[in-house]
Amino acid sequence: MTRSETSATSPLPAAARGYQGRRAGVVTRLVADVVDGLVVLVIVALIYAFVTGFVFLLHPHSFRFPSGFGWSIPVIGFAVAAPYLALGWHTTGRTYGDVLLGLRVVDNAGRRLGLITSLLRAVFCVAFPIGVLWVAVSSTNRSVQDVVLRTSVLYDWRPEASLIG
Amino acid sequence: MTGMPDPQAILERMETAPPADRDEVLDVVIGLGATVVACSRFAVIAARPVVGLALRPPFVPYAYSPQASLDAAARIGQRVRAQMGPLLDRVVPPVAAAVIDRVDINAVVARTDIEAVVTQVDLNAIAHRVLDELDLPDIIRESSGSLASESVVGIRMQGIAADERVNQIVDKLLLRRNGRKPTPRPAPAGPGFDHDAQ
Repeated sequence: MTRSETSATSPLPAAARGYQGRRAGVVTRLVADVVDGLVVLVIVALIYAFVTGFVFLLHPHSFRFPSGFGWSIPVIGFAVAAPYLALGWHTTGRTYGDVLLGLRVVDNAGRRLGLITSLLRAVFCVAFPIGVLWVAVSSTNRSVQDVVLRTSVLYDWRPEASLIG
Repeated sequence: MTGMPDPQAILERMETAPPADRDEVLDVVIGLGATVVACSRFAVIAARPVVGLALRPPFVPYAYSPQASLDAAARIGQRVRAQMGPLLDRVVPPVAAAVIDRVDINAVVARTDIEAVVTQVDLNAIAHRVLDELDLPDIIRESSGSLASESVVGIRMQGIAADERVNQIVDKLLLRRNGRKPTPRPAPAGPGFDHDAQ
């Protein structure tokens, strides 16, 4: 297939085609992370609502909104965020934030991440979120996590990419 | 008879004759044909009253006139034609099928120079015209439901523009002359990927 044919049949806007397959910049990745953070927040809120509803059902007369969650919120957030990110990267290469911003996480060979790499990267990202800021400094647009785990976050607007390998 | 011209010889002479001579022969044939047509039209116009008079002679009842015989013949023909329709419907398909069974279609097709026909057709131009008419990118974009809506595309493009701006600022601060390094291969391949546009 020639280049002109590829361009003619590509569903992508012409302005975006040149960026596909390149490593994403810091702004796009931060916005995707914020979206993922909101998703995790919603899940944690749903868990809180579920627990509250359960307490209400157990003691409807003496019900009070549960308090003293301060220590557990970060733990629950971590417990939700890490599997959420790992599953997204391992199954489709994207979390919801990545889908929205048109990003895909791949390994050094351009393939989808394995389960272990996905889990390690997810834990690393949740434990050290400011590592993403290294993208702005890195000459190869890689975060600290990308450098350590040899991964990349690419612009990829295609709905279903046929990954190499 | 020795005076009768041989049509085969005339045709051979026409084929071998110079173009000017061929044109002259053609002009003569066309001229003669036009004359025959004009004479025929004149004859029809002139004969029409005579024929009408012959078919419907004055003072002769219609039942005994030639026109009545012609009309009767026309009615018979109409009836036969009406009866022949269903008969033809029954007879023609099996006959045609039998004929087709005995014709080697493959041999006929094999004798046809399809390549010569295809080379005369500008498939490239046709394909481009079809693609232009279809607006294929738009159709694909609409049909692939998971692709982003226009607003999401806008957000993504703004994100890319902001990325580029941040990259430029940081590269300038770090005194990088050549900017960012290109993303190395391999990376996901497929429609829309343009690795050379780094």
